[in-house]
Amino acid sequence: MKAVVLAGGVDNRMASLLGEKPKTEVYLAGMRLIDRVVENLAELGLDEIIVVASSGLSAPPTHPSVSVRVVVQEAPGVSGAAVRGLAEVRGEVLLAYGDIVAEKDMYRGLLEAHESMGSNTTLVAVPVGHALETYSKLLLDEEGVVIDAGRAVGGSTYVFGGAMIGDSILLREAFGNPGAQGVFKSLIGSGGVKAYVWRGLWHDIDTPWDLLAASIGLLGRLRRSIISGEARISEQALIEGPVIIEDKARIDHGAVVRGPAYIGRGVLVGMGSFVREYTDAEEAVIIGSHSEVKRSIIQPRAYLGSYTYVTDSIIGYRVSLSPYVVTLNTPVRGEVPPRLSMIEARLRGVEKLGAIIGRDSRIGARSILSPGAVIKPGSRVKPGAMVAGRPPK
Amino acid sequence: MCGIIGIAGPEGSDVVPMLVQGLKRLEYRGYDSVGIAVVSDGRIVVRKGAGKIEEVARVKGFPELHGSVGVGHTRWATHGRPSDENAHPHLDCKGRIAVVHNGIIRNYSELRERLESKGHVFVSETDTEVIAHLVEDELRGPESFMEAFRRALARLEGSFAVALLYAAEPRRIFFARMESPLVLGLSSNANYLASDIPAFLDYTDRVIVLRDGEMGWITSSQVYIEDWRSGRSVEASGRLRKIPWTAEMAAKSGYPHFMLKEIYEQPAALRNSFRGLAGDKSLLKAAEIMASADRIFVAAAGTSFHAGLFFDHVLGRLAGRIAYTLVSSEYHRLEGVVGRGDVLLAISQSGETIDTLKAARLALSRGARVVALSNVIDSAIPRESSIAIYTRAGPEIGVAATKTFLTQVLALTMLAARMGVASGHLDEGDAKNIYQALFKASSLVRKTITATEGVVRELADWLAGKHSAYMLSRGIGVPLSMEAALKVKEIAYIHAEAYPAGESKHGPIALVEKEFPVFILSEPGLEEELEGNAAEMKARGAKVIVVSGTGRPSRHLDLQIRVPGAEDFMTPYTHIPPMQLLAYYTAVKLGYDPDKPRNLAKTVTVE
Repeated sequence: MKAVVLAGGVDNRMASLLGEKPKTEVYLAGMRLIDRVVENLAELGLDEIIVVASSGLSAPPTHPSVSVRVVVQEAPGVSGAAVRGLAEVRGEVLLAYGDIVAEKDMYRGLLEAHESMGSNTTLVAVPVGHALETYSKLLLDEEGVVIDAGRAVGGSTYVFGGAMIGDSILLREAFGNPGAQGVFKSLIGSGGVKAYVWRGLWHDIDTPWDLLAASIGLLGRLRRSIISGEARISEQALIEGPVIIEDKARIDHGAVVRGPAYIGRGVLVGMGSFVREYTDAEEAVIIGSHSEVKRSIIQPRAYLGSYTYVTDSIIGYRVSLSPYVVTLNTPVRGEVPPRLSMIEARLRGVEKLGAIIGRDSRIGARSILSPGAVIKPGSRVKPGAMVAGRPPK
Repeated sequence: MCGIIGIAGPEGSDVVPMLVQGLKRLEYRGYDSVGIAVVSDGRIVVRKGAGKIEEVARVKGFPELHGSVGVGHTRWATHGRPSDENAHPHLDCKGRIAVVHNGIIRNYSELRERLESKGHVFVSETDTEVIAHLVEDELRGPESFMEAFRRALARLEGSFAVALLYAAEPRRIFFARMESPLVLGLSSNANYLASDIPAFLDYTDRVIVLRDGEMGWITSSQVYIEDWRSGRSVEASGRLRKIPWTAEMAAKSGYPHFMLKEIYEQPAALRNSFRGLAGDKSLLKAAEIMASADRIFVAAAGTSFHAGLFFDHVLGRLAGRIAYTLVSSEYHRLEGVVGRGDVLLAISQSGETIDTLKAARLALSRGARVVALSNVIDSAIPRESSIAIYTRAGPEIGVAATKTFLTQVLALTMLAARMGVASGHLDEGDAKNIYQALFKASSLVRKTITATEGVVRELADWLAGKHSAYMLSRGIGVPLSMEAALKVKEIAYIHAEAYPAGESKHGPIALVEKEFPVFILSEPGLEEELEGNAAEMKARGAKVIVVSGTGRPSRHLDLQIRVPGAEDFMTPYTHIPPMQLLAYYTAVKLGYDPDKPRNLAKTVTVE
């Protein structure tokens, strides 16, 4: 069997962080979204993985144990990508969405379920509690047969998990229909869709806030520390696990890293800085001295000057924060995007919100970013600015 | 509870891997040590130790053992701590008799003293070892092993199911049953015995359930049963049953845990139970007996007790009667109370719960009639009762009762409706309407699971950080909230307490502080009162989560778990599944195994 992975194009909702780049280019815990999907599929014994990409893909994903081929998407949207990829395969195919953060076991379980349940099409269904906008809700009967699908399906807490196995001709026909509802209606009409319910780690990345949730989910799974022998950690630094510290990372004197956290390749954590739980600092990030970072994702090559304070935020690729930049993180009640307002966070009363800073932006010294502030890619914020928060929907 | 398995395979076969597999199937009964014994070259070889099956099998070298006849045992300590010495099988002095045992030998200390004075050397602290030495002591001269075994059994007091190997009769496994469960499994080339059917369901589905006072032996091709008190052989072929559960049904079939699988099996279990009971003459007969009773008592333990309390509520509604429901370990209270003209309803999923069995026996001995409700056909309590009705939930492996609760509630509602008709409180049309509603219980559960699993899964992340919670309701919801609290306690190890909501301000509210979890199971017609209780809790900073079928938003709640709307006697099917899922996901979040809660056993056969 072959797999088709939809690496996706540009998503407007992610443009505030990525600009013109496709969303599967974003890094989480050391890997692009697209690389993680390929990694998850690599050990299923597939003949080939075909990645359908738009022109913005920076480097084709590769894997030592399976052949990966990239084809370029022609028509727009999910349908365009799916139809393009499915044209490359015959017989049964595993179709996976590139913007899903999940575990290997989800894809393995789908494969086993498809083999044992004997339905035309098998797809992943995930129980989720928050009322997020999603590709499609699913209504299942007690045997796990999908009886209805679409955004407006009531009385259901299952959503489509972004992976399915079925006959390539049936799938191609289904994806010829507009919208998710059309696709699923066609599949249901063509003789039976069964759901494999996945209850493990699962995040659908549609907005930058989903990245925070996914990062917390991924790092929350860390049980022990993995520290590269090639990382340089000062004897005066304090590492409280679990953390991943990659090659050539440098933790300077007096810095404290408190897990769960990810410190990427070549990252510098400056003297006396405090890197707190759920920090994800990707390759070549610099955290200057005496800074504090918590529950934030910092994309590759970003620079946080000395004395910066960054929490509950997403810092884009090659962003530069001059010294003393502060993100505030206590939102005005009711202004948290519904996507970040998980039941758990709501009941705990810990809904917090920082800033989203788009790639290649430069923030002047002593600027203050209010909760929910969004700074477009390539912006220049003057020193001492006060940026108001306009939390995204 | 201890688990026994014995396999008599054909000459030249190797039953050791099957014994290990059978022991794994018995894991759900709870255990602290395991062991096996086989007859090999006319000698008995024992390997045993404290710990998990895989670990003991590896450390003690089970795979090096070979034999075509053998017994295995999972032990749950009662006499003597879990240790390698105390693990079963136990041997006599010469190592020619091996015994595995489930139950308690009450007169073991006097037997041990007597045997020790005769020179027998004991190596363990268990009551079981006494059996091996006792049989050895009785074994004299040329007479058969059965003679000695019979005499030994006559000296034992207590409850037991035993299986013995004897080196001089290497093809046979000897067995006896008194009060503790033991079943035989028959197949064309091998025979089996075990404490419970799943142990050998991989190999055969043809079963004979043994009765108290029965002993005998099996070989690979023969079965012999007799009643040791009368000495008469028993013709049991008429008792041979084909078990409709497949081994696949007893396995997890893709679910991460049995508990989740069994939660998902509830629609099917309810449908099967409804179909089975709708045309069941025993149900009508039981209803007539109960409707004509002077007084109605209910005895049950754990989850079955909550089903009993639920019955109490619907009985008032549907039949205008009141039942006295008591926890079955308190059966002494019936002494001097229950008598001729009364009926005791004994509810037990396994039909083997010792306290409930004792309550039933007491009622019978005082001239009352006993109606049994069980999920296991021909088990001890149904067998001893005047009449038995059965739920058809299939095997329940998870220690926490899930599908058996809802099927019990279904059966009891049907029983109450028939009692209503029998006593003239309802007419046939009313009963028909109730049956029609109950027919939909199955789809109601399915819709409820679909509508709540996602919400509950996230809610569990929050509850996992709490130490204590209240479950409040009114009316029929009270026993449901007790069941919800029990699930959270036994699976997630979080202290959860149920109260009638009106009672909560008489004390319990003192514990409520900021962020304290309060779950309210809303009941139709009682929403306003419950909202008042919610407001009291909320005013003290509690987080209030309401399970309700009405969409009316309230400012006194922090989260609504929205379930399909239903009449009050149907709310078990909408309110219980989310609470079962909540307990399940909270346990998983905390890293506990929901199928094997600590300190708990599935079938409690010890007082």
